[in-house]
Amino acid sequence: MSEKIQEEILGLINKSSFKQCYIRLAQLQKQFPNALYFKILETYVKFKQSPSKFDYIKLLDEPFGLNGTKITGDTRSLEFLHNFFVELGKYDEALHVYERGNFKFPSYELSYHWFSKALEDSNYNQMSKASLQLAKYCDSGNLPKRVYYFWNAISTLAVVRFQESTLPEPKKIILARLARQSLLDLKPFENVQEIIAYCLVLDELFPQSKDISEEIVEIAFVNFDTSVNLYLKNFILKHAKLLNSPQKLFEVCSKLIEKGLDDYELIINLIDASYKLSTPQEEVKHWIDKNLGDSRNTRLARLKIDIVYTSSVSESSLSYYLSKYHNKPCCSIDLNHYAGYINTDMFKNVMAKYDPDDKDLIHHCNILELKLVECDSVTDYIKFSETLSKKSITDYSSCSKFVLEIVKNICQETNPDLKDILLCITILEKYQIKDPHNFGTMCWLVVLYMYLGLVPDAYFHFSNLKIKNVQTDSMDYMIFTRFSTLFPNKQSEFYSKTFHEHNNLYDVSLANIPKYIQVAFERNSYSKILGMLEMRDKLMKSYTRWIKTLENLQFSRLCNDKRGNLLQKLHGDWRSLEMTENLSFSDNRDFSILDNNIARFLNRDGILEYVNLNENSILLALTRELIIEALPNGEKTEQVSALLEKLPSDNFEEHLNNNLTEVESMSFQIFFEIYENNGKELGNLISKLMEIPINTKKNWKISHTYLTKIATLKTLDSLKRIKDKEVQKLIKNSLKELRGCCDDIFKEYSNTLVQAFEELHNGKYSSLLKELGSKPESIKNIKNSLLSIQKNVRNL
Amino acid sequence: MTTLQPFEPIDLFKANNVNLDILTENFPLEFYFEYMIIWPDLFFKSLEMTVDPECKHNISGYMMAKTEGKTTEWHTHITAVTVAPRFRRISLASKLCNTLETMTDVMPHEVNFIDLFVKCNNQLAIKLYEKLGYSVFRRVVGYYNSSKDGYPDTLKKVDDNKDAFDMRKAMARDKNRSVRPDGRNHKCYPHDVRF
Repeated sequence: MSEKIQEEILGLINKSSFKQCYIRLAQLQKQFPNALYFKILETYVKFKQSPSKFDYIKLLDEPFGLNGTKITGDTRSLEFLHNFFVELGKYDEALHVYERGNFKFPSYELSYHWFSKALEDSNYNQMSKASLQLAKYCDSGNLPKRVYYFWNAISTLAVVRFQESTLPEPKKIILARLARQSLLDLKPFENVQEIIAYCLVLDELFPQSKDISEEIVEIAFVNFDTSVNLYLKNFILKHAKLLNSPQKLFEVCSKLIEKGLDDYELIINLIDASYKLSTPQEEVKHWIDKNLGDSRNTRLARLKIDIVYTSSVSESSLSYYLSKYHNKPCCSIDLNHYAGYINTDMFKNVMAKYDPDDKDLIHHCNILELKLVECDSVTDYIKFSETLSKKSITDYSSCSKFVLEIVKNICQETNPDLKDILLCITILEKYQIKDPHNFGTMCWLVVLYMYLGLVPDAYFHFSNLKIKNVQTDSMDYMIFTRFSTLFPNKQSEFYSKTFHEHNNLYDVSLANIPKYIQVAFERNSYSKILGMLEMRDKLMKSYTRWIKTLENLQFSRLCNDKRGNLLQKLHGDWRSLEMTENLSFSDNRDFSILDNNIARFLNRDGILEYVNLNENSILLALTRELIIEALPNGEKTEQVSALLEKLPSDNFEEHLNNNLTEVESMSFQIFFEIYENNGKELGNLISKLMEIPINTKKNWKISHTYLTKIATLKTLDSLKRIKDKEVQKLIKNSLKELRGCCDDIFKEYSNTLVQAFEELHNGKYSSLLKELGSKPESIKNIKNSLLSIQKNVRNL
Repeated sequence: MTTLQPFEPIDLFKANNVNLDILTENFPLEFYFEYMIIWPDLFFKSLEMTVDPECKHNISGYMMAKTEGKTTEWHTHITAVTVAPRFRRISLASKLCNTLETMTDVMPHEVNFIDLFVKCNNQLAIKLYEKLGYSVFRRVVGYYNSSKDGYPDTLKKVDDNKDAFDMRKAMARDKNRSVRPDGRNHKCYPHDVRF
């Protein structure tokens, strides 16, 4: 019933039918005079009716705040109060109502709610408190009492690992001792997860010491008599090393290896320990071979043994490894690590022995990556290209290495020539036909098309990558960064399907995570809980998530759409971030898929400038949207003030220019000027915005500059606050001027592309393309793609 | 230079070099979490110690498995074993399978056998598993049917591209109950392989 009533009242609030709200609530209060819930609902109605006039201290803080006089144990009232306080940014108060409720009306159910809410709010301190409260109930709930002490230990670990700043040192010491003692009292531990939880407590909550390490090794090691667990392996290894006893280290490593773990970390520690114990080199080799047999790890172990015993790799050990792995793609990764210990001439000779005619593609790639020969990507590609027709379709060819080398060499220039970009596209498009599933080359095609602003073409290849679920967070940056000013097309599959489908990761999966963590607690999966909390934090703070949210808001402004729901969600998401006690963003984007040294492509006017956003850029975009939200009221908000305080005051413009494009920077200054100075300089700033050239750079910046200007002007045009007739006229004229030149801008760009494409046929590249067998196709597709963008842009 | 490590939730951000593969399934986050919660020790990865951890791609492969069934059918099921292209053909999948066997042959699991499903036309994978000691126990007709194909209504119609082999490897305690030389001739429906 209460849910229905709440729904009814909230519905009336949404319709601003406050009078009806009060009538309905008066009826309910008459019917249930002692129900606190309806009084709280009434307070909420007062707040929603007039947030600025709401007397927070008197109506909410005094009765329910940290020193409040009213305490309730009613879960629906507590939940409503919690959400009310959260909406007001009073996060401590939000959970404090549960804490107080628990002490006055103690029950298992209430403590459980408290713990769940604390988990939802990422408040690990409160989880720690609530779990101890739960442990007081012997027979309530479905779980034995002992599990709640483990919940407490994991919660304390979460505070220390993720929110240490909230924990004064003396309190940390007390909580650590409490967690340890509580678990010790539960001995013997009943399963591996309990042992892992106890080891985590010792490992992370106490300073390193011999006693701690000995205890961890002992408790974890004995478990290996009957079972095998990788978490315990890590504890044993870490602490056996800290004990500084080669004897112990050898004992644990040998036992774990004998259990069947072919693990290089164990092997190298066993070698180190053996050396310190003066075990003869041959004996160590023999031991490893006997216990692990022939594997990549054991062959590599020979190199490690040589290095430890003689400081250099012998020819026999190198040959032993290379005889099996010279033509495996892992070879260069493995050997580059030890390259400093291998004589280069010997290296070259041994390597050459296994492929004297240099006919093996992977062998050749390895000698390139090991820097044993100079690379000539074109020659290499030509030499090995026939292997492409012989490979299985689902295999990836190492020929992509040569092709990508050519592309990357060209793309690392700033302001790469259009002709060069078209050359790269031609080469990669042709390559893709022969190696259709190669995701490295496909990702580069996405980047190249995005650089040209040809989003539909980029999207075509991006779709072929079949990115979904959690992958979207690390990969969506490729096509959705700055999408509102590159391809704001509501009808396209790009937006109507992919954008929304990919947001399910945040809207559905992220929202589900607390429930899953709760289940992890209940199923005693202690080893995974801290990782799940970390995952949730990284998703909440994800660059991609925030970039997409803020771009979507700008897109709505560009379309003159209502933004109420988007803004409401933005505020909710921001509050979730604030609750984590660490206001920052998490860069989960995977650039390694493009290159291991991505910085060279990210600079201004570089091929990847369009994705070059950082924490400052996101904060600026967030500030911009919150400023725009605040502008109609003409009032400054605490939230914006707090964000503006984070900006440097002395070199404000420089800060903008370093973190935004030129047009984004000017757009920000315009809204900031209205917010801060009531738009005194608005006319001047609009003129400056209009002065920014649109087509100096022949690439994505054409759409970006044009559409950022349009978005800015359309937003200004919708602001009733701007009363100055001259400025109003300037805005309208500027919009008209921009729209008037749209077709010409895109036609000119199209002509430039055609011209650059024709030069590919005639210039120095024609012979290169001929050599590579990559005849340029028609420019028709590119022209059509640009035309579709032009049509889309023209209508905005 | 491979070390065996537990698969952590945030590893999902770093596994594109493994998961962008055309033949590798990318599950919803909740599915991965389910495995981490219910079988926390049976989801693990091979980590390359020589790849700079700053580079996101130091995971060379991973194993996702579970335990299920009752009494003599109590077993380990391999849900996914996958290796990054860069680390293929160096027996890494075998290493992951062997490690799983090491872990589930002992306490607390002590399973009778390990099983997995493989498309009947995936000769390469079938050979690999046979090398590791697995053999075909039965043919699951229509296991890979799409919704368009519908549920199989007969066991007589076989299709190598739609059917799966249920391959098993028996542990010592199974006393070879899960091995039969004529496994390929035993057919069953997809619902028969639900535990």
